[in-house]
Amino acid sequence: MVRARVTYNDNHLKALYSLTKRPYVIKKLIPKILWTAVSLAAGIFFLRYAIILHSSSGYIWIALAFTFAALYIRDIIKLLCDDKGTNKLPPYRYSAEITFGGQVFETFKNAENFTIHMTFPYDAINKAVETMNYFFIFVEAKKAFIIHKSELTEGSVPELEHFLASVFGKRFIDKRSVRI
Amino acid sequence: MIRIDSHRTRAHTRAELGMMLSFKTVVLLLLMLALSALCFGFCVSLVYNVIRYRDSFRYARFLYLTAGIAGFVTAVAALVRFVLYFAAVIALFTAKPDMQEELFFEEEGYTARHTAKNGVTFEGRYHYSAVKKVTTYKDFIKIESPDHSSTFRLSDITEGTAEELMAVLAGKLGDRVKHK
Repeated sequence: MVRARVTYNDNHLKALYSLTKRPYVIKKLIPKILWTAVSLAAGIFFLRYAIILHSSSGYIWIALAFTFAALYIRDIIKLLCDDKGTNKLPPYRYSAEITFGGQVFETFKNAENFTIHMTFPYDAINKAVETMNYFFIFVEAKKAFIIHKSELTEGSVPELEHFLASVFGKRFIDKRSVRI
Repeated sequence: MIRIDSHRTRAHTRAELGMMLSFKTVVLLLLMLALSALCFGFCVSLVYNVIRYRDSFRYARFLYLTAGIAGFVTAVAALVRFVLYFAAVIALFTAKPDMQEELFFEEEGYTARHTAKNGVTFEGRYHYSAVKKVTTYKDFIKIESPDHSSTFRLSDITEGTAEELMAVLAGKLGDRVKHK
């Protein structure tokens, strides 16, 4: 039996985002880079014509194109510097008691004004991932319990590794080399 | 104590959709479709320009081509989002819901208990201060709390009466009860 008590904070969200970041960032980045290129190219195109034709009437389009380019560049920088993505902590504080062992994966959530008890048969769980500092139990494709290795209250890390490998088989993904 | 034994059917799904759909949501969905159509049109016209002016200034051709690709990517993204929303609605209606849920409303709070088809069990005990929102729609009531929401019919009440339940909800939740 391995137990953990987790009080979620920003570090858990950052860890989850780091694990799932790449496909999310790539998906968001492609259209932004393309529209930046379009805005910059349009700005330069209008500027060239303004110079060649000695016209002052097209300056509004030059300003507009470069403003759009600047806005897209700001979005790209924000996306690349972001460390939590769209993940947010719920507005209430709670701690989760997580138990591995037996026939089901068991969780107790305790908050000031509610408690939730959930059990998941191991077959129903999507996958489990281990990184350098964390265990991620994905109960659904986009919903995970995040456990820092220091948050185990009963049992040890090798014990949990062995248990997850035996229960999940190929659905247990070993990423211990990843610095998360 | 008021007890509710609710067996989820398609009528519950329809009621949830009725509670969720508003003028804003429909307009948003239509805007997504319109944006997609606009970007596809933009993309086609720009690629047409690249072909038409193939002998002209290479800079303009670069601009048209990049804008065409950016338009295409945005159009596909908007269309995919629209299709996913639409597919989710269709999946909701075609799936045969098979879930039995028990709810107990007491003086201080309520308890919800259910087991999903894949064996995941849930038991939540909520104080009334934890309840986010209650929506009534025809003879359905939807109660939303952290990590859980239940929809049931007034006719599902097996102990107590609908009047008692409405009195409890109105008394304990005040303006968090919305009638649609």
